[in-house]
Amino acid sequence: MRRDLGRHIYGYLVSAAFALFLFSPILWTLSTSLKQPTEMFQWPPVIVGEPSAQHYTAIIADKDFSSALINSIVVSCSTIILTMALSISAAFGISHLQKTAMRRLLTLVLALRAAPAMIYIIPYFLFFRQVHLVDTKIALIIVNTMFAVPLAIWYLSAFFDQVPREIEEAAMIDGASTLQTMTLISIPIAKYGILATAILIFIGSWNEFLFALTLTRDDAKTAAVAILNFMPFEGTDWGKAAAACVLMLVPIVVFVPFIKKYVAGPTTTGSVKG
Amino acid sequence: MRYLGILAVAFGVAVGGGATAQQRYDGAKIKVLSTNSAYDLELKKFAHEFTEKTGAEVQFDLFGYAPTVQKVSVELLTRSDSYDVVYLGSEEFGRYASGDILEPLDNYIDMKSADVQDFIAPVLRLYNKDGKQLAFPHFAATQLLYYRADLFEKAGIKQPPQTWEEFRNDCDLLRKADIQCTALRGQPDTGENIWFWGQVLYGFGGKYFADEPADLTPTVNSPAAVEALKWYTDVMTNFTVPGSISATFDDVVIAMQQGRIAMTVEGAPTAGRILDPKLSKVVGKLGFALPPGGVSGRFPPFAGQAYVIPAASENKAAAAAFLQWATSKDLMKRISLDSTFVAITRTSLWDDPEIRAKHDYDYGHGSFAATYAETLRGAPEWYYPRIPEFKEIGDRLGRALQEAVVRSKSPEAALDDAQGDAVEIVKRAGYLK
Repeated sequence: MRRDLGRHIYGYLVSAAFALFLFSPILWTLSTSLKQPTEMFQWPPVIVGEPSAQHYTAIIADKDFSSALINSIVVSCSTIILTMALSISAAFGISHLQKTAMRRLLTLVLALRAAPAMIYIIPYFLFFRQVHLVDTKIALIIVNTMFAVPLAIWYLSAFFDQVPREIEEAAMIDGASTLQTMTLISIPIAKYGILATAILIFIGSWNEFLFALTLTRDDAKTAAVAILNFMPFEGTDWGKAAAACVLMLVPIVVFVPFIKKYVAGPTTTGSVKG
Repeated sequence: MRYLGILAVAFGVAVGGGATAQQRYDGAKIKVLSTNSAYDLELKKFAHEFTEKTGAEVQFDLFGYAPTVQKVSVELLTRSDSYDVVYLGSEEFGRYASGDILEPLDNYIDMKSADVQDFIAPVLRLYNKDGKQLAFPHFAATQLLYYRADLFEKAGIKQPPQTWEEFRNDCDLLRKADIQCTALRGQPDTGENIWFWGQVLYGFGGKYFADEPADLTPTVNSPAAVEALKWYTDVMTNFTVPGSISATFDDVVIAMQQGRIAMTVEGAPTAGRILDPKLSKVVGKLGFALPPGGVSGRFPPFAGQAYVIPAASENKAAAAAFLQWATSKDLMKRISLDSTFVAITRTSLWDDPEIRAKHDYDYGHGSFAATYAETLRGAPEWYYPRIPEFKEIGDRLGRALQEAVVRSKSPEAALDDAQGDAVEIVKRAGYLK
């Protein structure tokens, strides 16, 4: 009994230390975003002084940052749509065709995704400049989709694997085509997995920095890049930079609980009666 | 035919003084890629005047410092024609000075004119390659010694330190008086701890290479360099505020601004932030002096920021006219009077009474403007070696300094390892067999 208690205390202590390590920068950013400029570097530091929304008001009024925020939303949502359109049928196919060969294909697809993005920068820049797509949202959507599709296929094929074959076979016996089976049976059953994958793709695209930095200039730059504009040569505007980071975190905070719920939970419990 | 073209350009430069802001460039659109620093933001504000004079429209793409450096790299290395005027820091100049990446301004502007000669000579020379002027500087950076006269008095220090040894001894006196001495850049990077390090290295009699540019054998582990690193390690370990080991210039500026330290050697252009009346706790308490030196003399850090014209630009003549206007004495003065910009590159403006009235901080312990001007006059333009590989060597050496400060290696071992890597880098680049 005493041993169990010790284990529990140890577990909680380690978890608390880990959580503190992970969350303290976020909490510090949140605190900085709400501080008056005079409190920001006060020594000894204050966690929360007189809360002020001035940095939030300033960045929302900042046309440059707000348009970058809109660009981020457009690029991320478009990436989801395009990625899902390309990945769902591919993942469904891989899940249903010959396993060994297809798994090898899946590994190859993922290996392409694992290559460091840095090596693509110059070729992509030259390509998009040639086709006059530098500083357009289309270029970012294309690149983000190219990087998201392999990952999405990997995730989605795992979700389609969980769809009981008996249900699909029953549909086919009733005369459904492969396409109908996929759209009317498999996708509805795997919908939470698809939703979780979409959220992961959104987060990846939302946070993407390297290509957004290289392929955009003024019109198409995303919020992840625009934050750096609060860091001019003369010194960082910490209040605005912190407020911008907090705004960037909002969708992540909203979506992450869904991922936890849908990825962790079974998708097909009770679909087949024993 | 080619010679005829060159003759025509030479004739144009000789007779007309090259491209001028008075010449018309109707229909031209000059695209500028630069930082969102005070100078550029002001330039954008005043750009309509250039358009009215010349008919050329100007479009600015201004970014934070880091994204600008990255974008400049991509645009110049891919020989892009997307921009006509591009920002370039002097520490990056070596990367782009060769290979016909940049357009020589000599083709458009008379370099012997009084207007060009008014640039502070070493700042102009920072951007000169084989006798060709490849940029006009708008920003001259160096470092000053900022010190708290009130705390010095409390610790019994009579005058600001003249040498690095005095700097260390003064730190000791301040500590005995229970006063935190200093904060210095510790972040391992060519633009951070190495920007500070050069003056210590040179002061102790060391240098980066045996005889730049003739002999590029690295000498980063010379006995003088080891002595310099022992000094740096001692000061960083015993006399700096906690966190200095990874401090950037921003951290140092804030430590000084918030009154947490008695002195530091930091960027002269940051004085406006240190003494920002809304945030600063040291207004009226600061003194300004030249950075300390060593047995070999005083070597204040020196770097510039400038505008270049990419050779791929399709609007070179209009861009040259814009560049001349953008760095002109008159405009630089107006920008300085209208903003916090003080890193002036024009000799005549440093003596201008209006500029002095706007930017001189003088609380009875040395004039900021006079010290800044004097530091620039004595700063060596070779402060950063001008080979493209220096950034890589500097970053590696920056790590060696940090290794010595955190005591993961002795100063000797840290510099020996850095020397080995530096030799590899120069060999790979073909400077050494």
